Amino acid sequence: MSIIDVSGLTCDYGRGRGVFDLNFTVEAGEVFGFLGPNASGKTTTIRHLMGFARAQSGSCQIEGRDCFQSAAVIQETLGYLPGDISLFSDMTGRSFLSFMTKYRGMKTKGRTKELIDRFELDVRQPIRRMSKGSKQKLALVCAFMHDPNILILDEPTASLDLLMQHAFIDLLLEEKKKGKTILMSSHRFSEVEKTCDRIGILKNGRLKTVSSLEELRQTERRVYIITLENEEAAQALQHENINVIEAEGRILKVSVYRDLRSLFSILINYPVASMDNAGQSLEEIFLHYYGGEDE
Amino acid sequence: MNSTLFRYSYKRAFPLWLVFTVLMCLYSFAVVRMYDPVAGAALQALAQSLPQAMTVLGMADYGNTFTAFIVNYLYGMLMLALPMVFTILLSVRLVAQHVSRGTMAYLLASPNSRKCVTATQRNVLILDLFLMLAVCCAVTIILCEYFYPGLLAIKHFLLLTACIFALQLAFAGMCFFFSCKCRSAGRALTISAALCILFYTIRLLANLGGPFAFLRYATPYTLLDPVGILQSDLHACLLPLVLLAIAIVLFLLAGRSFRKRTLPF
Repeated sequence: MSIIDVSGLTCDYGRGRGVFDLNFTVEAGEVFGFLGPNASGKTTTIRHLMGFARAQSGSCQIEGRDCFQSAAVIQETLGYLPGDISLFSDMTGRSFLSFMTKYRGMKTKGRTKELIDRFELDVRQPIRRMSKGSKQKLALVCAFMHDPNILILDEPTASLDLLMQHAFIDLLLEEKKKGKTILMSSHRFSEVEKTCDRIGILKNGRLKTVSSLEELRQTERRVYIITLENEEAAQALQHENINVIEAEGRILKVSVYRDLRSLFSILINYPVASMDNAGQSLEEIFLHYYGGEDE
Repeated sequence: MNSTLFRYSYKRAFPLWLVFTVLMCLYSFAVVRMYDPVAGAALQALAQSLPQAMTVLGMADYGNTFTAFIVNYLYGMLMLALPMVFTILLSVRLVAQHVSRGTMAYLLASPNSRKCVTATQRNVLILDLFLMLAVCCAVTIILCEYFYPGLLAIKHFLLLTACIFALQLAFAGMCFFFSCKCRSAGRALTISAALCILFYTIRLLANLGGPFAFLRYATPYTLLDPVGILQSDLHACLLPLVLLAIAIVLFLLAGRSFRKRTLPF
């Protein structure tokens, strides 16, 4: 049985916003990355999983339980990091954590101390005087302190510095080894690349693709910058059967999906002065999905 | 109910509670000290010559007993308005503000259900109101016994305070309902305050009598009849049970609407 099961989830906010007919599952022990541009519906989906929002149609289940009806039961073994970090500003970090442990009904302080040390967090400060990064660390401690089996993290590293991002990735990899199921939304390709088994890309509330990193790499798009000897040739080349992204004078930017041979067979008839690789990172793949035409 | 949240919310509400309770005790002190058997008679004469002015202020003519005087001045206006303002402010803080600020996300991302969270916050509101009225009532009784021993009809005074508690609970239920229902703290505050002021104004208008007398059926204040309670009138003593029923229904509706709603964070 899948740990997280979203089927046919729809929540229409009007003006094309919301999520539409979302289907995906996250299996036990899997790290699922949720990617997409701003306002693509990542947080909306997470709100449904957390039981904050009621599905207009379709269903959200965690461990076979309905996310809205059985929220309290689900939360016993779930850790959550909200995307919008708004903590109890009248408390200090320490009093907030001790409040949360007692509020959750935990008998011990759990992993609190270990996590505080790990993130080098100063818990003596009042929360309202904390920097964004410190607040984020505090929220992270709060999400992991009861050692939950399922983690739902909404942009977990949004305000962390590079060092702490690494500390977070290490933590995530450890949790993964322990067999925890993790769903996280992110904007950082590096952390997704290092941690996630599968990735779902959302755009305008629709799931564009769900695939493993390996599969994504195979669809990797490569972009080449081709400089021709004269502008006429450049003009002519644009009318050939190739995917031109940008054209400026003698220089063309061309994208290719694995099929280099056909590009070369065309180029052979043209006075090519130089050909450069313009980048082929995972980021490019995401940009392709992010920027793709709307159906 | 979650005791950790209960303690937190109670502590957080304490400064507000203290300010209102101290204000009410000071007012009570002023009223008790104001009593002067001779001046009482003069005031009685004033009330008789200008009955309209007194009724507009919510101070009906209860006769010239000490208890009537205290009840008249204490429960005529300020003792009704102050707990009402406190209720509005506190109920918004207890739920709507957590929703508005997004801190409700932390409260709900725990094994505690929405029902548990609203029940806890509701209990804080009810306990605070109860303590506020209990402290003021006790202070008034002590002051009366100290300055004018034996003059106050304590049983009737206690009964009346209990009935006022029922009235305040009805208002608390209403404010709590909007706190649970509204998307933002600002909206909850506006609606609660507007309705409370509206009911209060209707009461003043209805007190005027004449063409406005029918308005008495449009405000919950009518269900509280201090004169009747002081005279041990059974009907007047039972009416506050309706207020209690209204309060229970409103609190139940509040919990229900919070359980069913989609939260904005």
